[in-house]
Amino acid sequence: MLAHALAVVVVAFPAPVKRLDDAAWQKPTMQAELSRWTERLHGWGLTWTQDELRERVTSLATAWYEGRRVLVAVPKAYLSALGTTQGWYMFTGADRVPQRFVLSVQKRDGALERVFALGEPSLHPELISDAFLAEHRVGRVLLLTAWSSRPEALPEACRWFTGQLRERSTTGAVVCQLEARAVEHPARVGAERPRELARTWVIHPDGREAEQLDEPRKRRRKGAKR
Amino acid sequence: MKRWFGRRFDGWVERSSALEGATALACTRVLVALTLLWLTLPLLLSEAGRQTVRYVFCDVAWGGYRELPNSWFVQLLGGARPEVIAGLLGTASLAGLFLLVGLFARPAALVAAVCSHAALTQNPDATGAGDALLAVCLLVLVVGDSSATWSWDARRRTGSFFAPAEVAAWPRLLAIFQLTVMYVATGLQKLVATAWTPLDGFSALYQILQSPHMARYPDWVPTHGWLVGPLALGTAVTLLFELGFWSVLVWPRLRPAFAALGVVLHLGIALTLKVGAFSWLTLSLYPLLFPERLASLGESLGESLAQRFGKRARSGESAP
Repeated sequence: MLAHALAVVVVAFPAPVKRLDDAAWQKPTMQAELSRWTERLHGWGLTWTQDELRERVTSLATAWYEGRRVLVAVPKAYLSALGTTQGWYMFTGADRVPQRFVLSVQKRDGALERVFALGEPSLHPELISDAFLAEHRVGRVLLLTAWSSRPEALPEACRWFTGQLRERSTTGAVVCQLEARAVEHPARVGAERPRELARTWVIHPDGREAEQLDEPRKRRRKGAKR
Repeated sequence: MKRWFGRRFDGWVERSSALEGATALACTRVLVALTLLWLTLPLLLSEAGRQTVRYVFCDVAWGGYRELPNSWFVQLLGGARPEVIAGLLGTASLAGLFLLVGLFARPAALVAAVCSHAALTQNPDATGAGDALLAVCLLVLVVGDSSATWSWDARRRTGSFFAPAEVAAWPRLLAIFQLTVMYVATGLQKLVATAWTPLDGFSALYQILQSPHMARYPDWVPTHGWLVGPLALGTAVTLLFELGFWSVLVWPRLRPAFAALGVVLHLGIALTLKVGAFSWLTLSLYPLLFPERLASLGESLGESLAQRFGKRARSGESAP
């Protein structure tokens, strides 16, 4: 029993879930955290720039992650075999700019007809029901579709929903979007709190599919190629 | 120092080897069983549940959205296909029914643990603290004699459903320890995010309750400006509760206060956020904080129920 309790403590002790890579630091929530901590550290007399703080945090987190990986290998294997993993990461960092999944179908005139936007009632419950969208695991999968650093997460979700729509005789192109909106207090982000599209994936009736880039993103991508 | 450790260790061994009233563990068994059924039955019986099973738990080859890293057990059963997942969930539900009435409770808990774990943790994108806690609760019911009283097992053994009984204390102590580790670990994790601290005005709940993925009413918070203050207070209290929960191990007299606060906290989570069974499972472990009180309560309640049903049974026998 003592060994089990010790294993629980060692494995549950807080640690970075994975290495902090560039993609992780680019997320608005991480950027905001970095800026707030830099401000606070300046107040305490530590005059690190954001980049310096970022480098220090990355190297500390990497050392912690690597060191812990060795230390917890045996107790983690034991607890995994028992099925009692110890990942108690619950609302650790509130997502300041959550991206919600929005599903639409393109009509013949080219206009988009929305099927649902996560967090709101379905506009076509005969296609995708509210009861399905209310399932907490569906919300969690769609959260990771937006948060994941795997670029294929959005196409995978889009293909699945396209399959559901095709089964219900929907024929137009299916458009899947990730729509970002800041949820911080209006005093910080302004009363408007506008929504902006983070990504768009389109699946055409003939099965072709592609990422749809808006003009600013097209320009950024061209610039990166040069 | 050696002597101090020796005394502590002896005291700990004595405490964990002790026997105590079985009612607290029986309460946890009933609550965990109800939660398990609440979790699994809708996935089997409703159209939305079956659609969720296909989307979340099945491999892309069988109607899911991505390739899943199937466990050896699921592979042995034929892969993450709808009928395999439904079979696992059905077996877990049946085991949940056995647990609920306290019939073959230990094997039932083991079957429920194996089947629910295999089905619900198939997809790493969709599993979380709730599933981990379900495994912990079922492990406690495997190692502890949770059907010593208030169960069909007790009826088979003693002739009375409510027969008072004594069980080993250590499974309960292990469960309280696990609950404490869970709270403190999650509290420590939160300290890295400014939103959980005064650095960002304790704004975590204000932001979380607008999450389109997890909040039940994401548009409600920004339209009710007066909520900013109460939610900041809620954020601070949540963090202090989690970080301070270890004190229930050291000062048992604090348990009622922490339990009351915990009930409010978890009911709040269940009402405002979509986090599955997490809140109900956590609350299922709370009876284990009060073994003596529940033992005496269970004994007196059991006696009055036995008398009442006994009388009815006797009057039923004598009726023409």
